[in-house]
Amino acid sequence: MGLTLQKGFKDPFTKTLYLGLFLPQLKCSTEGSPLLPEFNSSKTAMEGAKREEIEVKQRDWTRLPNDILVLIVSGVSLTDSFRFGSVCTPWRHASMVKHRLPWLMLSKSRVTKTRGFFCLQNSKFYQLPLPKVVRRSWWGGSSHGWLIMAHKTRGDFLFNPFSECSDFAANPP
Amino acid sequence: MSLSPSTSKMLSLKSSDGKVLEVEEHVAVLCETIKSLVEDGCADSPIPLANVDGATLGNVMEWCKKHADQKASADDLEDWDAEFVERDQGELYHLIMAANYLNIKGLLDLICQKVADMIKGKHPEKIREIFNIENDFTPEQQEQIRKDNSWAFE
Repeated sequence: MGLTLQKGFKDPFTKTLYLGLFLPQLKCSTEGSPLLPEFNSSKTAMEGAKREEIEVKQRDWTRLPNDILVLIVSGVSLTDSFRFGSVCTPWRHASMVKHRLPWLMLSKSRVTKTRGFFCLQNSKFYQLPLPKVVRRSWWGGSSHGWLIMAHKTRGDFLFNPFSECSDFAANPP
Repeated sequence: MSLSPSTSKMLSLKSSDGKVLEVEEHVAVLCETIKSLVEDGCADSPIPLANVDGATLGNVMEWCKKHADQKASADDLEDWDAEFVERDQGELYHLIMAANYLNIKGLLDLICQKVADMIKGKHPEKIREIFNIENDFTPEQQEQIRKDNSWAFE
């Protein structure tokens, strides 16, 4: 059974042909949940500089519970979540969450080696570099951050534009 | 049990640094943690809140008081909230931890959105500076991150 290729739709204002929705996901995170240090509970009878030191320690933004960091990062666009994930290790783990709003994948781009995507969250266009085999393939859909592609000679395969991983299906069902 | 303003009684809340705050019950029950205690009849006076300091508890209850006010319109609350979150990162941090501990979803969402807004459009170095965070990546990790995200950082 081959893939059903979708026709896409045209934006009446920009005349851009959208191929379809794509839900971007960062590299498949197989790592377990981050090992976050315990939050220091408040101590009594602290004085002067030591108290101030403890106070600063308690305000350690890297020690926020992971679900709170996820709540923060879910309020920013994908590109901002990349910046968020480049700050420190615990924030990087939190940034590996699934994004809420999908991206629109554009049918073709002005620059030949990239493919255009439109982020609904911050209304911005992004050009993602894609390998030749992907650019010369048919788009069949997307799932869990993977693009389902079909190539004339190499067959169907999955491609993740953020990790540049691809998986060719030897015998597609 | 009626929790309407007219019949609301007072609850005593004790912060981690021993400060006692008298708060109307219909205001305090915006904290799900306190609401459970009240509903279970376990709200012994004063209620000890070991993870919240006095200053933060005062701020939290100020937010609860405003949001428990039946007369406040949605627009009014929005403007008020926007002013409420204009604080330094230290205060915001304590508010997040308190809202999480006291289980006040509205306040937690508000502060987290404020922090998200502070991050928007800023480079990682700037974010580290604002929140006083140390870069704990190895040079190799740093290079990998830069490579992965180069298209997003332009």
